[in-house]
Amino acid sequence: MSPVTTQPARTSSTRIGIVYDRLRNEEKMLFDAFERRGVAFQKIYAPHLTFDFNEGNTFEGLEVVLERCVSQTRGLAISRALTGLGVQVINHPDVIEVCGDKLATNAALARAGVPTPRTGVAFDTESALTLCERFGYPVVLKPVVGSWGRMVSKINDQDAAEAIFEHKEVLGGPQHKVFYIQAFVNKPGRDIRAFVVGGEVIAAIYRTSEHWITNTARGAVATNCPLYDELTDICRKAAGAVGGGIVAVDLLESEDGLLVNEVNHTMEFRNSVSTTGVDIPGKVVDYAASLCRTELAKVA
Amino acid sequence: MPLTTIETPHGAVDVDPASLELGELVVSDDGTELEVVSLEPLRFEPAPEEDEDWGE
Repeated sequence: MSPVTTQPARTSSTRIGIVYDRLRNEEKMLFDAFERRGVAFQKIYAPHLTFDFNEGNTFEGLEVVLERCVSQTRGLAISRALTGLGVQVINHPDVIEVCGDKLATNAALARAGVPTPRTGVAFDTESALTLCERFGYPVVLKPVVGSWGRMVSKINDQDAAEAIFEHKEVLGGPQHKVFYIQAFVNKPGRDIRAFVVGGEVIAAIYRTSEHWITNTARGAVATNCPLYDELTDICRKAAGAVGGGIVAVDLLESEDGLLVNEVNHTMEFRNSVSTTGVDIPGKVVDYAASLCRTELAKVA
Repeated sequence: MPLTTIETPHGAVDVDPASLELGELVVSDDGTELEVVSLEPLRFEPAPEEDEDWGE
């Protein structure tokens, strides 16, 4: 087993690091994938990390770091710092920045011509209500930063909209005064999550729930979604639009075809390996290894 | 693997110290979710609760 270190001490042959804070099943699966492949790697516990830019690159030797922090703010900061020191980070801070902000994601997708649910943004209650009227109820209101379906609201009529917008304006922080609004898409009780690694769509799942929110973190059930051309095409475009790397693309099946709902930069896949039969952590490790310039050391 | 009972200010945990990882969660006998924040010496802290920026 590779030693757990909090600073970049490592054997001279270790080229890949994995930085994390909360040790989820996904990180354990990635550790296991490195070990199964016999690739030397370094576990880096993010809360103990320090960067001293006057000291030079204390990460010298590490060529690629997988960023797996559950805290997006911390993950972005670390990705920026490592990138500044010349280390290749998956994902690049630009990708984290775009995926971590739903408005930025939507802007990037729109620029690249990737179809999304009808989406708008407003900055006070009155203009938000106007936008809702234009879209037609129900609409979906989301925080621009957030995950796992937190604080996502389906607003069925103007009364509900007024109440929610007023609460957000009065009680919310500055980010909650950015009203990110989408037309409600009447999906067939499920959505699709597709996993894209280095531009290749490697697997996808259906996430099925009786609730309109279909995150597996909220109890949706995962089943295999066979890959097909429309799906892989749109996922590749969506991943490219946010800057590539390793991302999970969430899609809705609509009457007008597939729509990209979100792109996630620190994808969770614990429910998707046995479901799809695809070794997702293994593919992630292979991709990280493929970015190394020097030959990787194998551990016994 | 042999489990060792370790007393913490937040209750006792039964763990195999050799297999613990930094960032790992364990639950104490009084129901507190604890995070491993140091291996040498072994130390647990109450795990941070889900924050607004947590996720994928």
